[in-house]
Amino acid sequence: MNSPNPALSSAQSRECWLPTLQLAMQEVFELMLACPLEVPVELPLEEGLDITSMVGLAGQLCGILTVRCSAKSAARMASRMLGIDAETAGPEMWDAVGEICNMVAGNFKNKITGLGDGCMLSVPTVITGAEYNLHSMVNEEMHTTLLFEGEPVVLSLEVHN
Amino acid sequence: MGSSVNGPEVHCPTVHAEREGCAGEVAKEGRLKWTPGLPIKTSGERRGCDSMGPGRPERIGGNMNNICALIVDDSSVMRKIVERSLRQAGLSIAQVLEAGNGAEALAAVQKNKVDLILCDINMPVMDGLEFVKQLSGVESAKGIPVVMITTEGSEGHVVQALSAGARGYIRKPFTPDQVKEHVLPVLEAK
Repeated sequence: MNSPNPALSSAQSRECWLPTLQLAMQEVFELMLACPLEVPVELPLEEGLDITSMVGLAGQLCGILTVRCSAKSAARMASRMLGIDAETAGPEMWDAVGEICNMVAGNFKNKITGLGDGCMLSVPTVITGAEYNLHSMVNEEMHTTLLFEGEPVVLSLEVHN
Repeated sequence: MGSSVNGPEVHCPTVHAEREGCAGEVAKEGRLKWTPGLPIKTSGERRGCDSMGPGRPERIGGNMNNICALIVDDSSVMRKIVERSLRQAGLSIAQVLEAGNGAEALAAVQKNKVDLILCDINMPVMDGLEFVKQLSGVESAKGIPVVMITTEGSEGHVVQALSAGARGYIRKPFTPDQVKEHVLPVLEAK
């Protein structure tokens, strides 16, 4: 599983990863939340994004995939996934955001040739709060911002070569 | 990888799905307060699914009616979505049993008359592939169709799951139509 995969390590092959990440997240929102994500015309301010969901990747690709959003957006996601009132969403919103991150990670790796079997995912972890530092052995980082019901959702992939 | 968490709370949604209150929070040292052996939860109407109960599932037009479905996933949100998808697929479901991992699911099939199992792969305690393997050794579970529902969508994982005894495989994200497409044939073939 950890044998080098030239197709994954070349910078050229990684050029397509960012749009693939974006597509992976758009598909998850369309299929599971019945809500298309919009590409912002201008990058929105990343303020108040105090819910962070993380899934670790290990194997031929090592790193972390994170999804960040506001608590309001997380509650709206839980509402759409479960058919509950967003106002009453409690722990469900952590579970919802965690599961979204997990599905985005899985969908992404299944779209990259050679990663499906060569990369494992951790169970998701969710951090609430914005004042934290996360230190990982990152060599490369890519991120994209999409709009969910007009609110920013930031998707990041931090890769450890 | 190390993380310095200063102020914010860290949650494992998996655990929050099962326990209310303190479970699921990670202590500052990074240790998860994990409590295994959580009870099986049930939802839906309670008829037709208890062992030797009067309302055993009936075949109507090739489909199962009043079935008892066991949904195995460490995410309570995903279990609810799968349940909703089954209902949207037009299945008449008498009872839904839920389990947060393979070990809980094994206990559930030994205590209940289950007609269909939908199972995630990546779960704590006992993963879905191990569950399917161990299920084959449970006499009372012979013939219960298992459909995997997972983010692990590679060909290798599909082969592993089918070799272990699963009858179907659905990749997340999925639509209710995909659930219908994969679940109805295995129920009809049961």
